[in-house]
Amino acid sequence: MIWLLLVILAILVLLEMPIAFALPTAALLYLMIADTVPPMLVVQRIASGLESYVLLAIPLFILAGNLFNSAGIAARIFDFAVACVGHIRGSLGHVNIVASVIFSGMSGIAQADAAGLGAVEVREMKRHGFTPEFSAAITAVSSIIGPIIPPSGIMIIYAVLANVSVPDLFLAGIAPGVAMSIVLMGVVYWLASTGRITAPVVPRRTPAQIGRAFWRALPALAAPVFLIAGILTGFATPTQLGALTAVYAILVGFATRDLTPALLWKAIRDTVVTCGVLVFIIAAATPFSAILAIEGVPQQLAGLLLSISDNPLIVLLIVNVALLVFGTVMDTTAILLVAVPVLVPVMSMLGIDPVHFGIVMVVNLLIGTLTPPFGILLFVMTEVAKVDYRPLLRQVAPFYIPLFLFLLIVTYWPALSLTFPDYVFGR
Amino acid sequence: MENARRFVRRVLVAVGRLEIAVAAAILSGIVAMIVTQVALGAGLGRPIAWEQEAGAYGLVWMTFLGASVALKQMRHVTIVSFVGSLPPRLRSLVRALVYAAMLWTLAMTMRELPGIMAIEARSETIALPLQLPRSYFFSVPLTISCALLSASLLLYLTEALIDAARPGGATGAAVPVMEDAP
Repeated sequence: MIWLLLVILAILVLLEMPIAFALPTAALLYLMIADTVPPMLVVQRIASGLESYVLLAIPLFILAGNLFNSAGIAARIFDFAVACVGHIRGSLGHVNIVASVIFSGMSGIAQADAAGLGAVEVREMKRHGFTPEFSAAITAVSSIIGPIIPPSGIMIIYAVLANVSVPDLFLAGIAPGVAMSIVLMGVVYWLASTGRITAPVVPRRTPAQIGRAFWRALPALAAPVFLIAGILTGFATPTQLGALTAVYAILVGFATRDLTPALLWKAIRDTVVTCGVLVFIIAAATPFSAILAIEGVPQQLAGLLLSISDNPLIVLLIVNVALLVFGTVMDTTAILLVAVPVLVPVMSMLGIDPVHFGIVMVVNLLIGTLTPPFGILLFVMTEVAKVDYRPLLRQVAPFYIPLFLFLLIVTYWPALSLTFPDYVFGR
Repeated sequence: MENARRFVRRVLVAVGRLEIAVAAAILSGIVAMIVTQVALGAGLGRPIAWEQEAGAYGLVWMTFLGASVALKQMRHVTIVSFVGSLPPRLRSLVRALVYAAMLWTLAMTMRELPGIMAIEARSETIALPLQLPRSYFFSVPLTISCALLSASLLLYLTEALIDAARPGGATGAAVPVMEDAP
């Protein structure tokens, strides 16, 4: 009977009902038809599902990202990245990636990276002679680094659902995030070397120019250092670090006179609405997840997967393919909310570390935000860069195979994710 | 009819501004509270005992108010499929159907809430300086949010139906109650 729940959800999503409403509507319709449990049991979980201090970190890091954007930090980061890597073949393509790595230490949402820093990146790349389509494509691709390197909204949601430590996940994301940026820079270098993209060269900067760019970007560069130091020393919880980063962004903004009261108000207002979109989905998905649990779907899926193979390598491959397929048609948060309670117990049975699996899921679902037909980052970039969907997709295409290969590396090389947190926490 | 529709829109915009102001105050309060907590805890060794509980409750209120504003701005995540390519009249009818289904969900949720509220009211907050029924932080904000969401949806449903029945031809357009102010 559970297929009925999925069919109803698919119909509602295809009719363009917002995900946050499609999930509870499908759940309530299913309960009306199947009559398995009273609706009160699942409705009760909608609000209480948000009773989590850890989840509070999501709006706080969104606020910090919005404030850094308003305070003109994005342009300073971009200038610093130009000074560091602008002279390498592929020039601003590399700059775009490096800027995203730096900015990832402030904002935990890929869409915020694409829309905030992305606007600066696309403008500068177009000004330097890059095509708007490639500028938009590399910005979309580099945006997915943001939620892999801490802080990360998607990791916080995973941590709450899978009951794992947020600091563990945050630290586990650092090495894969940096490795992914190297892979992407390699692709840009190859594209530029083979003449597949027009990449005008930026002159190498002098040490003095690099020093000036570093000084201007220092307040921004300090934020991720401050965050990681906070996690490593245990000085504050991730939620508290979110609030402290937001206050730091306000102080930096007012000190540099880039942040005005009007911009501060806009950043707060945007945060409230983004919270109403993103965190509301978490609340709205609880009836759906509750039905899956009540109907014993995790156990059924575990049985199904283990009947195919009890080899963790094969199960991970199947799960990765399934997540990539769902990622092409579903929202990241919605997949996370439905899949984590189902998959994490299976992975534990197979001896796969939940932190490692978290990183695999995060990387996988973020690749999903770039894949057609419903990759959210592609739609964001069509708006930001004012480009058409199909030409943009053609420019993103060369990055798919390297990203899939990178996903395989993250999946089958747990040490890439786990070495750093294990070392730090002495395991 | 047109005047009534405009009046309802104006009222919803005013309500939306109030929602944003309240949610922004909650967010600001949370940030101030956490910074104070870190300062008191690390500096004076006297942390606030109720910070985590208050923060979690603040998140619930902020999320439900934010969700209502997001609907007014039509910012909830939607997978864009074929609806946009339908003829305008059919598009408006599909939208009306979707809004009606969303309203049904909210009505079903609200029907269950009095019972849930009664259960939640039996337990109280744990660490807050004031002992309050827990329903103030779960079923009450959810009820308010459902009511506010329903108000916006009723307007969208009415406008979609009016558009579908427009004698001169439907436009198929859906206009948000609130624009995201610059």
